[in-house]
Amino acid sequence: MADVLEIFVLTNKSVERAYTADELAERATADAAAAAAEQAAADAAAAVASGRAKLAALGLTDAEIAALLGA
Amino acid sequence: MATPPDFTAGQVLTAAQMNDIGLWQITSAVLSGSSVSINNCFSADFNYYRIFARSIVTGTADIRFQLRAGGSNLTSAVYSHAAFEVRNTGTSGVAGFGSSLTQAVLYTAGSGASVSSFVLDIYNPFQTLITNATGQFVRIDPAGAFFAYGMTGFTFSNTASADGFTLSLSANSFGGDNEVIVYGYRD
Repeated sequence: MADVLEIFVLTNKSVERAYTADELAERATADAAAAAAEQAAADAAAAVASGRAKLAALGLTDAEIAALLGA
Repeated sequence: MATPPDFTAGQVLTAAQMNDIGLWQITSAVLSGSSVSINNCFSADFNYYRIFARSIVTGTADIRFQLRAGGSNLTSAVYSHAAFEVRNTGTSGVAGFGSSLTQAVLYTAGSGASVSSFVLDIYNPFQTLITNATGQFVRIDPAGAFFAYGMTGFTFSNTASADGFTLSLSANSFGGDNEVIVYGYRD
């Protein structure tokens, strides 16, 4: 199966082809951005978990932590 | 005389009847490979467009969107995108956001045989105005109990004129009994 299906509306034709160099570069940039966003989300989740653990260590109950954090 | 959409064979349609058609089908296609580009679907004929895509099976992957002009994807300005998702299991809420020079992410499709469908309304892609888009999507696992509904949107922060778009996946290939249809809104 080809990578890309390209459709030309004006001529009602289509071609199947491989990625161009520009498209491969765009994909690499997009993949890097997605990986960075995923890492940022994981870091944020880890920070929340760490914060909860520290609050629990101070003696707060789960209900009190939930009330403080809103969840 | 029959009125739209009830036409009769051999009927001569008037300009008034044709002008009453609010949503005009421009093109349709079955998605394949990992990227589909549609050229010249946006034009001066319409200011607003609807992209309708149904029954897409991709495995776990981001559904990416790029505007296009002259046969190339537009990467000259920032795509800012955001999505929100309500799920019957797991955590509902923000389902992704960000800014990128390369693409907007509409949503993240599910794993395995999960099926997703979406509609996306695009405002002024061909006009030399900022292009915005708003949409909705659903994704389900037909074999399981997973269901999610979400909203998505993006802004392309440039007034460049776009004459087409690219839908692509971060991984895997388009499959399933899918179809994408592009409509123009008469305004």
